Amino acid sequence: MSAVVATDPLDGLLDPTIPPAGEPVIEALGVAKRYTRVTSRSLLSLVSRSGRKAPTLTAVEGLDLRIGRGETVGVLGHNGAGKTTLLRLLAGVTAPSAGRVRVAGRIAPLISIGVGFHPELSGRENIVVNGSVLGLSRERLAELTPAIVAFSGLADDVLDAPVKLYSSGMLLRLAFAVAVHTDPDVMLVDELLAVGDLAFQQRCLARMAELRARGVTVVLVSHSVFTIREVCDRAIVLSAGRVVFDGPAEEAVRVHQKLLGGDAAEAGSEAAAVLSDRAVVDAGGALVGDLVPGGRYRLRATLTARRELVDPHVMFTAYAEDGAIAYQMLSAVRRRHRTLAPDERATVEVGFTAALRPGTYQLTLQVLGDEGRQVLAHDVDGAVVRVAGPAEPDVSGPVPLRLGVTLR
Amino acid sequence: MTDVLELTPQPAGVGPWARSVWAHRSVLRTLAAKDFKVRYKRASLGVAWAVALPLVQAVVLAVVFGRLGLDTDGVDYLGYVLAGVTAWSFAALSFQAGTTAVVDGAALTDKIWFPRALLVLAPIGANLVGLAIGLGIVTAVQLGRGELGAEVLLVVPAAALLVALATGLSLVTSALYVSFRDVRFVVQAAVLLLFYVTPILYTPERLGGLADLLPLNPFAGAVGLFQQAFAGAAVGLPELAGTIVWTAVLLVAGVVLHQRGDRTFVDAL
Repeated sequence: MSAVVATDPLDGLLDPTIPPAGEPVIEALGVAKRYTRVTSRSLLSLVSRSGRKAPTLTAVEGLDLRIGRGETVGVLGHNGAGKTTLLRLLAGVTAPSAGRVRVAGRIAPLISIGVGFHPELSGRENIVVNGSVLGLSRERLAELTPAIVAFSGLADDVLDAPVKLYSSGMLLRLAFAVAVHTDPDVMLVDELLAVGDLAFQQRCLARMAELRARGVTVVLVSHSVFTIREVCDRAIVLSAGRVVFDGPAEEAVRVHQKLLGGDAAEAGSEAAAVLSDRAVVDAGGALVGDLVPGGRYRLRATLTARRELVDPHVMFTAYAEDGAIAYQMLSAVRRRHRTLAPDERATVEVGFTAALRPGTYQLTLQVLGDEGRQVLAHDVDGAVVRVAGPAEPDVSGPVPLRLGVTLR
Repeated sequence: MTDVLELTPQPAGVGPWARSVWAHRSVLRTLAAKDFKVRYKRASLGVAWAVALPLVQAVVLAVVFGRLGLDTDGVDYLGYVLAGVTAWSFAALSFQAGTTAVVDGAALTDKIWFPRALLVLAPIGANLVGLAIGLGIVTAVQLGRGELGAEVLLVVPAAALLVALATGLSLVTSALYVSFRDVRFVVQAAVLLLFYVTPILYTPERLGGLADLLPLNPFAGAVGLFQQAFAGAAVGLPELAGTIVWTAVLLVAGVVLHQRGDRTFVDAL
């Protein structure tokens, strides 16, 4: 396994507490986690032993994982692939049903935001509860509070208000501020950067880079292939509780998207067709990467048939930054019932209007056969485009609804 | 690099469990303080209620039972009832809150690990404030009436025993409640029943021959010790021994259940 621990050769010489290179910080060996499906148990079931075995649900199976110090490893997978269970195992929240988990160092689980926050308590009081649960002593918390407050960027009067009055963005700021100040050796992050405005997301990414430079090991679960690409050098892909890929982040993203896109296009050589030379062009046919909101563009690619393609359909998908689908449509191809002979080439073009909020989007094409039921070709990487525009700190999501709020 | 987490399907054992509880003691303090704060947060009188409620209770008991003129076998009845009710309130509140603590704390424990037993200890810790206030009021009342003797020092072992008993009981029931949600109602029923079978409003002598069964009631000895401290009603040694045995057994059972379930409770929530 390629485990690049430190890129800078001097890195390891600066801090005497660093464990010898090659010793993993996180190690999972043959780990399985099975949940017993809880069918309402009553005290009576203690008395009447009805030898039935309760049905179990396997969340993780046969998982082996070694992560070295200072690595930032992404975790990709469908919903229900076992990502959260993996983080919960690494956080020590739950014990494995089989195998062994070993994590060396202080763990800061950012699995969800604001763990232990009580709605009636003020932001300041919640810093104490949350920090304490994350393992900070009272003295250390008192020392760190100014830094935590500064990082959160929340005003004094906000911090003195009960957190039930906070927006989700404010809660996230507070939660993240506490978590990154717990001086962790291992950080477990789940989907957390999906919330909050762009500026704060940038600050979080910067702080993670800083922690990483200090040798903090980060495990990051995200649906956002952008985040995984940007932050991680390595990623694993989970499918049905098993690791199906472990390696460079870029490749992991590809494997993940293949899994998302269906299985037909998975084996490259056996694919019925290949999409290539994908590009986004404007009305004049010039290549573009930055889109003007509301502008008209075309996503273009070359389709090469490997065998006869009868009445191919085209699926266009725009993914938002968090991996959510901003828009998806199975096409009506203008000239219907076209058939491509083996080795015949055609150009697929999808015209679209960039009616999107500012941000980064990934545009992908799939070619489907059998009335859209079978994937023939999948341009997994897609075109990454930026929709330009001013930052709107209080807005999120891909659709520009242009709200007007009044209170009468 | 002293923190190393090692997880296998088997629980870590009582020793490592006890060490982890000790290492997380500051969490207990924070959680107990949080419990206490949250309770009075939205009341405009705030923490004043913590004093006002036992005070109201004391006045009611004094008026009602002070004038009933019950036959109390030579015991100072007002002091006896005040001491008994104060001890009982603490035990009942702690027992009920402790029982549901692990399940109620699901949001807290879903993502972060610390010994789950701390969730059980936190409400007991928060209730200690109420117990201290209540005992302060009883002391003041008895002092004012000139009924306080040197035996008041027994309040220290009495409180220690009662806290240990409430802890042992709650550790056991909280662990059972995770899997068996009937436990909560069983506990409610038990609290209701135990109030009447424990000599609080009456002296053990009133029970006649049934008094021999008192050692079977885990609370009889602990509450009796409070009554001796404030009203000079000597606690029966069998009752005291009964409470001590119950406490020891429940603590051991509670520790065993919690160290076993520490990292699996969460799966059943």
